[in-house]
Formats: sequence, C-alpha cells, structure tokens
Amino acid sequence: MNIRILKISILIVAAGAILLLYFFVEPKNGILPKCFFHELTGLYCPGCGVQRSFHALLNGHILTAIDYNLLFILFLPLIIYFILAFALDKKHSFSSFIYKPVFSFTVVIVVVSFWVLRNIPMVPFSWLAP
Amino acid sequence: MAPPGPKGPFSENWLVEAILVTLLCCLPFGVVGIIFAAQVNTKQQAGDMEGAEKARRDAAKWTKIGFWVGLAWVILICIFYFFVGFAMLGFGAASMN
Repeated sequence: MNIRILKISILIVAAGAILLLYFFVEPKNGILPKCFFHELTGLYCPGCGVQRSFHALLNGHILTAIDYNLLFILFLPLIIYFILAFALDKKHSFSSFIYKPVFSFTVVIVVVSFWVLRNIPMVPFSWLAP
Repeated sequence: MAPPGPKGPFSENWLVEAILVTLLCCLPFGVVGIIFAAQVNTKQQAGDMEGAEKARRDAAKWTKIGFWVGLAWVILICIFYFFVGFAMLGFGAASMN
C-alpha cells in the first residue's frame, strides 16, 4: 500500500466529512461545541465565530462569513495552500514565504490586534466581533 | 516515506499549525505557538541556531498542547451531549406513559 495515497485519501475523506457537516449543520442551534475560551471568560478569542463563518461561506454568504470572523477569511487562502502543499508532499518548496520573519511577525501582530480589537465594545471595533 | 525536508535556510516553524490551532479555538495556547513560531526564522537569520531550535520546539510544544486541549474539549462536549440525549430519551419515554 502506497503510504502517500493512503494519506491523501484519509485527508479527502476527512475534508469531505467536515464540509458536509458544516454545509448542513447551522452552528447557532448549539449542537457543535462552543469556544472554550469564550465559555470561561466571556471574551471573544481570535477563533470565535469560525464555525458560523464556515457554515455561511459554504452556503455562499461571503459577507456574513466575513462578519462572523474576518481573520478566518483572511487566513483561508494560506490554510488551503498549506493543506495542498502537505497533500502533495511539497511542504518545503511550496511554502518558503511562510519562513520569512517579516511574514510571521505580521501574523503575530494581526492575530493579537484582532483579538484585542474585537473585544472593544464600540462601533468600529464591534464589527469584528462574531 | 519521503525523507525529512531540506535543512537549508529555513526549517519547520509551526506557524500555520499554530494559526490553525488558534482559529479552531484552543486559546491561549495557539497564540503562544504563533509567537514562538515567529521567533524561529528571525533567530535563524541572526545565526542563533540554538535559539531558533529552542523557539521551534516551544512553538511545537504549545501548538500541540493547544491541539490536545481543544480535542479534549470537543470530546467532553460530545460525551456531555451523549448523556443529555439519553436523559432526554428517558424523559420522553416517561412523559409518554
């Protein structure tokens, strides 16, 4: 058995299951697990709203998806790119820009400021909240 | 299996893994992972190979902690719903009598 084919087929089956789950299940009705951090502190984490955002995106509501979690939509191309690189076993040659210090520090600044800003209960910032 | 990637100018920095853990809600460990991941290549470029290796290991550690805590949370929720479902089934059966 070719291990790479096995790896890719597991990935495809898992991705298919996740896509189907989030296409049909509306996260707001409470079946899916809620955010650990939000349950404990009442604050939003950078990942709060990702499930609702993903559901909206799969159903074609891009603006709603952005409204739930802007960061997720911004990072989605990167995540898809990385999954493809992993599936094709070309992680290193594919993703060299990921290893640039400028890029990783931009990510740190964007994630941390997104986390802080979306918790400020005032108009321009509260748009970032889910 | 393919051999491990080239040990050239860049090595694993766990950045995307840490971003994924952060977005899939296992805070605050994912953010700690991102911060360490960002240090890996900076230290490497400055020639501090030991520091880069340490940052890489820390990034990996926090990302994995975040991943397992998140997974444990999801499993706990599933167990919780399982029992709530059973309780509701019992309730439904009782109210039908």
